[in-house]
Amino acid sequence: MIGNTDAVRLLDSKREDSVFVATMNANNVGFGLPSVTTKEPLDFPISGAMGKASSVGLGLALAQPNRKIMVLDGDGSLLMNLGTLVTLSNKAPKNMYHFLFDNGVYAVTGGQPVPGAGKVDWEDMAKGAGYAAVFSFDNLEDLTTGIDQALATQGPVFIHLAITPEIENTPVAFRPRARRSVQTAFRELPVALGSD
Amino acid sequence: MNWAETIVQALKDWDTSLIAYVPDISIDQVTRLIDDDPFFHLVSATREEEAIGIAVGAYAVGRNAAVFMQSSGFGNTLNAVASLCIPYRTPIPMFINMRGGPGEFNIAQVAMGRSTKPILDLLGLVHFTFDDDHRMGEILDGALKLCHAGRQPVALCLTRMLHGGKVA
Repeated sequence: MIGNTDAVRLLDSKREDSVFVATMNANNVGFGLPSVTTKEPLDFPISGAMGKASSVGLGLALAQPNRKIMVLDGDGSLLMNLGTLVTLSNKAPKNMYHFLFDNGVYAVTGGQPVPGAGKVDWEDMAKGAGYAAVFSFDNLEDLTTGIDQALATQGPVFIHLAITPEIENTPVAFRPRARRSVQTAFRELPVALGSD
Repeated sequence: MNWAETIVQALKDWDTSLIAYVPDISIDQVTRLIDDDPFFHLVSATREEEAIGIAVGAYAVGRNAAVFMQSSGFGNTLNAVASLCIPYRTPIPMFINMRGGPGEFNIAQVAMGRSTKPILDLLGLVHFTFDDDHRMGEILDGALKLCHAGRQPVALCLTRMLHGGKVA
């Protein structure tokens, strides 16, 4: 298993000028962006709009075909919008890197199990949907040595990550505040990309 | 220009080039024109809420986008509209083929078709209905201007009377 924050940190160290489009779990303060990433203006957190990160990422990838797009998806989120695998691989954006943070739980609602956790073969799902390449990592060491190859492969690439479940049960009023709102991201991203 | 060509022209006038959709026999008259025109990039989605997400992503990085769907599919978009478009102020024109009106033959289309506009009202989203192409170009132009000025989705409801479906 890979720690959520460790995975985000590693991807961040390899991102260069990629855009991160992140769903629920990777958006949690302490779990991932924007707390541990280093290029905030290129972070695009879709917190709250469950399941849409890969669709939004596809729109970004088609509109900015020369920019690498890294979607940080979750298993619960992806299951909510499973058709996206086919829509995305059908458009086949070469600049798309779809990471699945598979932790088997709904982390922000108390850690209830995601249906099919541990049974679903995500590599098969992505291959079957037609992704150009599929990778899977279940420990940080292998991810650290294998990530360069995954990111050097022409997209759309699907990268499955077995992530240690972490549950966020702190009442919302007592959580550290996110440093950056989604509204800010909407304002800053086009500026960062020079497309405003 | 017929109604479909009028829509295509309005999209071009507002530099709206990324179109995400789920197919429908009536809007097919528009999406076929779009598919043949190199100005546009047409994206076929498996479900309408994906189409909303794709349009939001394109808009977020500076490319205007619109979506096409049936009223039944509008039902599938609701959380995407409510959790993305409305809070983050994305002006996405939503072209909706209205089912459930005169001439409807499918009972499954009636309830969603009839509740589409009340739901848009509840969400606080402006909608325009086109029963014919009288002043359509002008109204569409104004609707797209309003969409961008208000930075919210605007619904363009296309009825059977507009696109030549049998009403009796």
